[in-house]
Amino acid sequence: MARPMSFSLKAWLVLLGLLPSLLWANDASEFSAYLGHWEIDFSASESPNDKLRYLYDVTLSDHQRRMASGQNRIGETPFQAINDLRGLVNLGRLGEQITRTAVLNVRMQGNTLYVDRDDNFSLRCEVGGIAEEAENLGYSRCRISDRALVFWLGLPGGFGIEHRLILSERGDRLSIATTVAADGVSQAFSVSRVYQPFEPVTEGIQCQYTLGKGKVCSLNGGLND
Amino acid sequence: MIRVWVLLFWLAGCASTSAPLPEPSFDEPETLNRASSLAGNLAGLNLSLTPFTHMGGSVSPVRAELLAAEQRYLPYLLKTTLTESGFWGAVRVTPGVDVTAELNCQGQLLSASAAALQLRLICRDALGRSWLDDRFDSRIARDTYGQAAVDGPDPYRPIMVRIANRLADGLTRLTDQDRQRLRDAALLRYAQSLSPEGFDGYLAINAEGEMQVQGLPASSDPMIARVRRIRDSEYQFIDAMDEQYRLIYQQMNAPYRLWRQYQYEFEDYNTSLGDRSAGAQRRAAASYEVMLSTYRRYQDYRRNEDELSEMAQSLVRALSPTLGQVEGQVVELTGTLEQQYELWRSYLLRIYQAESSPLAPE
Repeated sequence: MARPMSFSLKAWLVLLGLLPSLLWANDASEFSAYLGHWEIDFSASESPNDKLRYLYDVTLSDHQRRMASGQNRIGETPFQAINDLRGLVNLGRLGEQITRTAVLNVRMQGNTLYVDRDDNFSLRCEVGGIAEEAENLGYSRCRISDRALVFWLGLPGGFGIEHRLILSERGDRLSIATTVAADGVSQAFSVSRVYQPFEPVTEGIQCQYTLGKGKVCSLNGGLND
Repeated sequence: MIRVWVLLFWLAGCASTSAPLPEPSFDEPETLNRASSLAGNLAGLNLSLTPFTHMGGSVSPVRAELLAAEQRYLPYLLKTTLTESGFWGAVRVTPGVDVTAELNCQGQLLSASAAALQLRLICRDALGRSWLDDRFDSRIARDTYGQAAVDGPDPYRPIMVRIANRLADGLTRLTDQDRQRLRDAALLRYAQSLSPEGFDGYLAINAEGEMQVQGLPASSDPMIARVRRIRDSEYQFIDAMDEQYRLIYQQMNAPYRLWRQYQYEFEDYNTSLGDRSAGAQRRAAASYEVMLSTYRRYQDYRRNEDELSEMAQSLVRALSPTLGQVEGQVVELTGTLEQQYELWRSYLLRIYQAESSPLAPE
């Protein structure tokens, strides 16, 4: 019996297969519309818990229907179906944990695009540089595919996370579709969160360093010695 | 034929029972030599360090950003060790070579990772004599990060202790007369930086290529008195610069330590995953607790990296303006630390020249 491939290996093979059709992040102007501050629009965003409940119900009924009609896949057992459902729930719970971001700041620093998230580490993408970054833990990559800016992160233990950023036609909404997938779980869990632009309030603090006094700061530039 | 098989088995046995590859050796922690009260008047020589340069190959943009922060963090870590040794007068980190100091050290960061640090350090005194031009390698044991508290000694400290001890050895070999000669040379070199013509001839290079103090201006000489006054302003300014490096060091301390610690943990984790079967990996993936724990560790690692990266980006941005007062004049300096230092030096030169001109009021 063939040894099952690990998730990361499969992912590599799929990505290598797609390589010619992928457009690597190579032009800063392509990102200009993404830049700025974004806050979550709850009315347009999916709730990870609701999405998970829905997927669970659909997957469970699908299993039940196949079992009842004897159309189960080769080698599929009730035990495996339960495991699959459990895996889906786990992915959903993880998905809920990593999609709580309420505020984003998308910015360019040199040739690097940063997506700063208020509750999480920044996603980053080298424009015109190395799209893939080998890290001590797993690896990450970014690319542009079908007008979407895609960040992919592979983690040890055979699970991966994809964030797909898509800008609306009018540029007034930014959708982030997050997908979590893992070895041994037949389907990935995806949830979409939508963000709208906002202008942050500037504090207007100005500082000077005085050899005699040290650092002196004041609001709105009203420095008085 | 049987003999050949016996020989082969014997050789195979030798191969399988041969000694395992030696474990990489880690630094034996060296004790920091401290100046004792019996050592006489050793203090008084000032030592300045500049941010380290990086001589490595190509690195990713993110790693390059972190390197910019490390290049400022490491000299300050060395400064704290040198200060702790008690052998030196003022030990400062300055944006450029400090013309006031009796000893200047410039470092090259050859490579830095959680497990190893490689530095090259070149130190020269005010007479141009080389005190140190050496490479220092350090391997850091895995448990060093786990044992030390975040606010405890830095895992890179052993290499700094070795450097500090080497420099202390050099200092203790000097006589009181040698030290005074260095102080004089430093003052004359500073004076020459302000007025090359006014202080020409006090320092000369002998037949052996060594710089020597040929004479000193009279203590009542108004020119040298003015140089001393301006040097006092310079001290005040470079102390302010040093304070900026202290802030960078303090802010970096915890995230840099944790970032290196996670690097080590991930290497362990990846190795252990490589040892496990695909089935075990799949079971791990299906476990919510394992996935969440892996993600959280990665998240911590990246957040520390973000913090360091943000810090490094701020280093190349303009600082808030610095206001300095010298000889009754207020000067405003803008730009990065390095730019402010350059501006300050040009102000001092102009002030000195204005005072020295025949039209200047006495």
